[in-house]
This record gives sequence, structure tokens and C-alpha cells, in this order.
Amino acid sequence: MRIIALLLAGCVTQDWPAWRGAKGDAKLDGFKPPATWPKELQRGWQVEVGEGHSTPALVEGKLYVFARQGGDEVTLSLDAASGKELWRDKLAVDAEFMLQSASKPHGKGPFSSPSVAGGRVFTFGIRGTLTCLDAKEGKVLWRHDFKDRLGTPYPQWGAAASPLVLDGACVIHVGGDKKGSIVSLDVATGKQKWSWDGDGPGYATSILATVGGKPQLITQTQYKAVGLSPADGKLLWELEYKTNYDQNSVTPVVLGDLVILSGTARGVTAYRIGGGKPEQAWHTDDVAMYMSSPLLKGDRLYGFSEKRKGQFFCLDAKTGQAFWTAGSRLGENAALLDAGEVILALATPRPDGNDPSHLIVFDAHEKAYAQRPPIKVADTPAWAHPVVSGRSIYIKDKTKLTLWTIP
Amino acid sequence: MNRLSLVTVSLLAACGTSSGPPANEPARRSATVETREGGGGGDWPEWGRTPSKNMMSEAKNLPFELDPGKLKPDGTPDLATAKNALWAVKMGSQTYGNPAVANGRLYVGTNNEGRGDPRFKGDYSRVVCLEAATGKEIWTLTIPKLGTGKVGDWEFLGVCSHPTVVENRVYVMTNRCEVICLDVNGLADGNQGVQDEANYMAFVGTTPGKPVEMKPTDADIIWRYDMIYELGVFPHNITAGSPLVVGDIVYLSTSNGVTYDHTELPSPKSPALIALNRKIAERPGVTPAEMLVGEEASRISKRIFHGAWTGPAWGEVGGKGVLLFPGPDGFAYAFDPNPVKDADGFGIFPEKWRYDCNPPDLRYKNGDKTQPLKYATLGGGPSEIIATPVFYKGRFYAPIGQDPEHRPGPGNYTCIDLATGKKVWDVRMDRSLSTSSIVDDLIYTGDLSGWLTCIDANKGTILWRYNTLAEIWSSTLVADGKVYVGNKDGMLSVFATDRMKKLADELGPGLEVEIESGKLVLKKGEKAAREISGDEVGQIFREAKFPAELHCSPIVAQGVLYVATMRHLYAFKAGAK
Repeated sequence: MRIIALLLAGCVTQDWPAWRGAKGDAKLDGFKPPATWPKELQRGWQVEVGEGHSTPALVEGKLYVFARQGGDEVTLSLDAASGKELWRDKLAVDAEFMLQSASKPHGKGPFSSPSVAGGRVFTFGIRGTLTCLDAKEGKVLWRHDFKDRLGTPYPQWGAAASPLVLDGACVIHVGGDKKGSIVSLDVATGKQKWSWDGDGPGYATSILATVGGKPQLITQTQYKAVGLSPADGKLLWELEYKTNYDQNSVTPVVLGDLVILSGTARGVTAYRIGGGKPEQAWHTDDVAMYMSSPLLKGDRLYGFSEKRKGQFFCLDAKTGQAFWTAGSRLGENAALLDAGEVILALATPRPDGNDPSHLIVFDAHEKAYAQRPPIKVADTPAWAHPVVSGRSIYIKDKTKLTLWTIP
Repeated sequence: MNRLSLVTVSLLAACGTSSGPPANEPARRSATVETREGGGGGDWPEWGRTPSKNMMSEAKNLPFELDPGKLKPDGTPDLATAKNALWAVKMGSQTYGNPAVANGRLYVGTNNEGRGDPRFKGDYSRVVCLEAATGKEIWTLTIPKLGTGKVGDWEFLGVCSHPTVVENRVYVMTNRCEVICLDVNGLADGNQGVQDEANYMAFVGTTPGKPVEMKPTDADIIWRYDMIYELGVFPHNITAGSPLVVGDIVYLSTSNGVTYDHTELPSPKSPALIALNRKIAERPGVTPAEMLVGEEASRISKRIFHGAWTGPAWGEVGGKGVLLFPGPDGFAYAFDPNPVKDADGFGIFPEKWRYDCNPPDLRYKNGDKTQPLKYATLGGGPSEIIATPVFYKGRFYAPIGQDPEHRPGPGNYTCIDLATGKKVWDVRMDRSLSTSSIVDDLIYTGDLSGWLTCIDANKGTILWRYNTLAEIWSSTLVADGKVYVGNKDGMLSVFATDRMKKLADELGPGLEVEIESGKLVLKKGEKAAREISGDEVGQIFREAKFPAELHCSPIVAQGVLYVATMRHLYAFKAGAK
């Protein structure tokens, strides 16, 4: 985690270089909630950036936004203080492109969030094109569409996983229906270091975790979850994990030797990963996540269930027992951030409407769900995660990026 | 031309109180429509129980309180933790083919997941025959996938058609866009009809494979009719629907539809509705062309919005049969079920009338007939009829709706006089694919926003509604003074119909029911018109949480309530453990 040592009103401003932060755990370090949450936040700049669910990255005072403008996917670099555009890259993506018709509510993407590391920006477009850009000037350093090695290079609902950058490699699951590869590419050259060839991609981002003392890349694929060796891509374990209409979308989390998975109408299941075949440790159907990924705080799992038209929950991650489930009709999705004492959730309505989105703040406690009045932060559905740094909160809604400040 | 003898079929004895082993006996099934009185509810041999497709039963003593209990670590139901459950079994991972029960056997469509038969590894579809009293498996039809992927036979969806059981035959549509007729006894009593089961089950897509070794626990296929080969049908995503059998004739929708991306209709000349003669189909050496005795020629397929997934219901006007067809173009159709030959010798159902169930503002921009609206999965615009229409007291009842993947949107419920084709009333509601239950002139139906709605069948007034808080893909069941409805969250809600009727009479129509902290709150507008608490709540409302989605509809047969989740099948009986 790269932390800029600027103390501002008791908060540490923090970089947010990738989907769910630098460690992929959606954890904000050093966030100090206000003694009393205001009814509304102070609105700063607002910029029209384009469509899509992609969460911006924030590194050293610059935002990297990945969005659709017309038939192009654009990568924008903005000055985080002013919203001023510093550079842009664009790629036409509409030719020979078709998503499953039921995906229309979510638009044509992009859904994947940029990752920034070592002065490079990595984006993964809706059609499965991986691009590496120079973070300073936006120059394309390399770009792969993987068409030469796969059939349709994107899954039916559109590529959605975000690039994972580690140890000089960019890891991403590429491919389409039933056929894909998790590839590790050299960040400098774009050349392949290794490839695991197998199932088609799901929509969740790979995580790097230590399971049973062993570092692993864990990925939800189209029909499975797999653990790979990050050094060479060797398959360490796999288990079948299917959701209706192939919608594996939830970021896995790891507690000790448990890998916790969820998916639409699949409940939540923890698998024990030992040396042999993964075994189910616990399962609950009380809650199920669809596109929202959970937070692990100690051995408590907080999340947003699709049941009852949207409710929050807190589970014992060791047993699957629910401490509480709370609310109903909270929205169709919620992007959760672990802000220490509290959890920040950007609750969003259905993506195809024009209903507003709200920031819901609740105590990170298993005893009870203590919610504060929701704070409206967008006039339209906001499916990207909020990006929080110090007292600044960047919200990407349907087409705009807005800076809000906690007074 | 093989015509129906309507007089004959209407004189057949009433269906369904028999139990015990299936018998090779003469037709006991009636074409009598609407509700069948008496008999303790009898069997549930087809979608909607009878040809009128009214999701109701005369069954008595059904459990108000039920609990599926927990699952064991291997995913099988743990009966020790259940309440009023006779038995429960694990199904495939996706179970859309609603159960049918006849003569002591239950037939249900599911997929192959978790089955463990070494002959069939991977994605297959299945029709499973179980002993209705115990849930013990008797035989299984295993159907290979077409290999089209999501275009025409979506992976893992299994058999989505509700079987229809008549005498010793089961009729069902397969994922391969076939109509298939099975022997209720499976191969245990020898192989009747076609002899190529071993080759059929060996297909890999459309390529023949090595014949599968057959067992007595495999299905016995009597005949098959392939709608892709014979009619040029282009099934959209999957083949669904339920065969309607009246006399010797099997009526069904073809699932013809649009391309994967919804941009084209590849087979606009294929019929959306056909009829096969099931007796001719059993003759040795018969050709498919001889099986086909009727089809619509109303050019419905030129106007299909999405897919012709829903079959017809049967009604009567002046003692004569009428086919009520839910148009995949949003129109209600009434056809004479007696085909007449056209110039080319094809049997054609004369169209008696059609009625557009889409109100003008959904069909046309601002209601202006010169500006038709395009079909849209999102937002406004017209929808098809995907629920099966119900014939009740001389009228056609159905909502418009869309594939649930298209999400909630504006809908409309229409009541049409079957004799004239004129609208009696319509009322706005959300898109729905729920087939209605109509009892005592009250309609119960669900919708994609999760509302269970009770409508006055004579006036179209909404008496009360309840938000189940998750999409309803299945249909209601009304029996024994209760309405049962399941939703996507796996929640089965049960209301006492008489109590709710009394409350609506007392407080006036338009009630919205909410459950708040154990209280039943009846709201009119934003105001609470009545609050009910304590033990009385349990006399009016119950709910049971199932471990998977309730996309199948609850049914009742011989006093047993069957509830299929996506992954399990439960049998409940009041007083069972």
C-alpha cells in the first residue's frame, strides 16, 4: 500500500491503485470517520467521463478513469484536485462486438477497473483487450487483444475482471465462453511469462492470497474456482463453482485456509484448501451475493446480499453463521469499503434507471446493524466503487465523476 | 385430416383420483375445462392441472405451516429438521421442468448435475420419474445437449418443459426442440415404440456417439418429433412450454424465436403453435409429416418478440372447444382446434379472433398508432404473453410479460370474453410470467417485481397485494383456502384467501400488505388501515424459507403439496413429520 504521508483532518490520504485497493481487500488505512456524519457531503468538481462500471484508480494525486465515450473506450488521467484532464487514450471497441442481450441494463461497459503500478496503467476492455499505458503521458506501451489464441476474446456479459499487478507481472483471465487462459504478462514488454489454459473467464477479479502458508492466485472462472501458483501458473487446486447463466462475479476472500466464495442464488460457501481436494467447510443460503464483493474484517464477513431486494449482512467467517442480516430494498448492488470502525457502502439502484445512489455508513460490528441516514452522492446509478482518500470521496456514477468532501 | 371429436373428448370420464401403479387403461382424462370438482384434488398431470390451466386444486387439508429444514453438507435435505415434510430429494442444479403427478408417479425436468451416472458425464438434461409417495427414482430420460450453446440450448438449463401425463404416456418438450412421448413404465417393462434410445442418448451435439448401454431405469421413448428438422424452428435460448393434450391431439408452442442477439427472426415461416396426433404417432412406420395435424397460419412467427415459449390452454364456447394461445407477439389468440386443410394440404387452425394485450401506450409512442414502439427488454414498449392463459367462466385471463432476464417492466393483465374476443377489463401491473389461479372469482398472480396480487375476476379491481421482495418467476397455487407463491429468494409465502378476502371487503380494495416486526400491516396508500398482531398473524400469513430459488410452481396431488426448488424436490403433507 502506497500511503502519502499527508495528514489531513486526522485522515491519511491514500492511494487506491486498483480494484478494491492495493491489496484487493477494499480496506482503507487510517480513515477516521467524523464524530457525526453530515446529512450531505460537500460537492467539489464534477466531470463527464463516460459510461461504465469501472472504478477509477488514484495514485499520487492523479486519477485514472476507464470509461466508454460513444464507440470508444477511453482512459483518462485527471488531476485529482481539480478534475482537469491531463491525457487520454482511446480505443474503438464497437466493431464485431456483441454482448448477451440480457446484459443491456448494464450497458456496454467497461466493467473492469484500471490498475496502476510502477508508472504504468493497465486496462482491460469490455472486449478483452489488455492495454498498458505510460501513467505520465498516456502513451500505449503495449496492447493485446488475444484474438490470435482464442475464439471470442470476451465472455457473454463482457470482460469485467480487473488486472492484477504483482512482482513485475500483470495477471488477467482472458478468453470467452468455456475457453480461456489466465495469463501472466511481463509489465515492461507485455510478453507472456506463463499461462494456465482452461475454463473461460468469470467476472470476478483474481486475488493474491496466502492459503495454508502458500501464496496463491485465486480466481473465479466461468464454472470453477482455481488456485494457481503465482510463480509459474501451475494449478494448485480447483473446484466446481457454477452460477445460473454463468455469472460468477464475486471476488473471493481468504481466511486462513478457507476460501470463501459466493454467487447469485448460490449462497455463501467456504472451502478448506489443504494439500488435497478442496472440501466444503460451511455453507449458508441465508444470504447470497450477486455482483457485490464482501469484506473480511478479522473473522467477520460483511457483505451485501441480493436477497429481499438488497440487504447487508455480517457472518461469522469461520462457521457461516449470520450475526445479523439487515434491511431490505436497499438497492441492486452495494460497493463496500472497510473504513475501520465503519463500513462505507455505495448502494445503487438498478443500472438501467435514473435513480440516485446513496452512501450508507454502518458500524463494523457483529452485534447489530447500526445505520446512519443514507447520504445521496449521485443522481444516477453508481456501480463503481467509491474511491476514498483522506476526506475526499470520488464517485463515478452513470457518466460523471464527482469529488465529494466529508466536511 | 384427423379431426378432433369434441363430443367424444368432452364425454370422457373425469380425471384423476386414481392412485397406485400406472395402468395401461383406456383414457380416463377429460377435456372438461375449468375446475374439476371433488376427488380430494386428484392428480396434477399437466401444467395447470387441467386443460383450462387454472393453477388451483380442490385438495383439502394442505399444510399452512411448512418448513423444508436444513441441508446436510452434501446438499441433500435433512428431513429431521423439516416440518410437515413427507420426503425430500436432491435434484440437478437447475430445475425448471415443473413436476407433474399422475397415478402415483411424479415426473420432473432438471439437469444432470450431481447425478453421478458414469454413462453421462457433463451437461445433459433429464426428465426424472419418481415414486410420488417416497421420492424414489424409477427411471430417467437423459437428453444430450444440442451443442448450440446459449443460442438454442443454453448450458445446464435442463428440461424446462412441464410434462403432461395421459394414460400410460408422458409428453414433454426436450431441450433439443423435440416433442417426445415416453412410456410411464420406462424400460423396465421392455422397449416399446422407437428402439433407438441407446443412440439417442449417445449424441454429442448433433454427432452420433457410441451407443449407451441401456438399463431398466432408463426411459422408454415411444416417439419423437423434431421441430428443428420438421418445421425449421429456431428455438431461442431453450425449448420450453407444456404440451396440452385433448383427446388424441397434442397442442404445443414451438419455442421459435429470435437470434441470440435479438436482432433477427431466422424462421419467420415456422409455426408458433402446432398439433400432433399422438395416436397416429404411435403407428409403426409413421412419418413425422403424418404426425403433424395442425398449425397456426396467422403468421405469428413474423411478429415474435422473443420466443414462443408458452403453450395454449383449452376453453369452451357454446360447448365447443377453443384454443387460447398466448401470442409471443403480445396478442391473445383464439383458434378453432379443428384444423382445416389449406391449399397445400396442411392442417390450419382457423383463427377466431385476436386481441392486443398491450395497451396503446406500450404498443405505440404516446399511443399514436403511426408510431409503433420497438420491443425492448428494458423500460417501456410492448411485451409478449409468456404466462399460460387461464380459461375461467367463459373468459381468457393472462398478463403480458417477458423473459425474467429482461427484468421487471411495465405490464398489463387482460380479461377477454372468449365468445367475442372483446376485452372485459384490463389492469396495469408489472411484467409477469405467472399463470393465474382463479378461485371464487378471485385471481391470484405474481409478477417480476415480486408482487403477489389478488384481482377481482369480474371487475379487474386489485383487492390486495403483497411484495414478496424478490422476483416471482413461478406461478401461484390456490388450494384449501390458501394461496402459495414462491420467489427467487426461495421464500414461499402463504396467505389464507378467505381471511384476506374478508379484510379487502371490510377495508376496501387496493390494500397493500406488509409484514413489519411480526405484524401484518394492511395499508391503503401510505396509511395503515389495519394492523394485525399476535396469533392472528399466523392464521392469515405464513412463510417458509427454502434453500434455493423457487422457479418451479407448487403443485398438489392426492393431498400432497410438492415444492421444487432449483436443486431439490420436497413433498409436504399436513401431519407428516
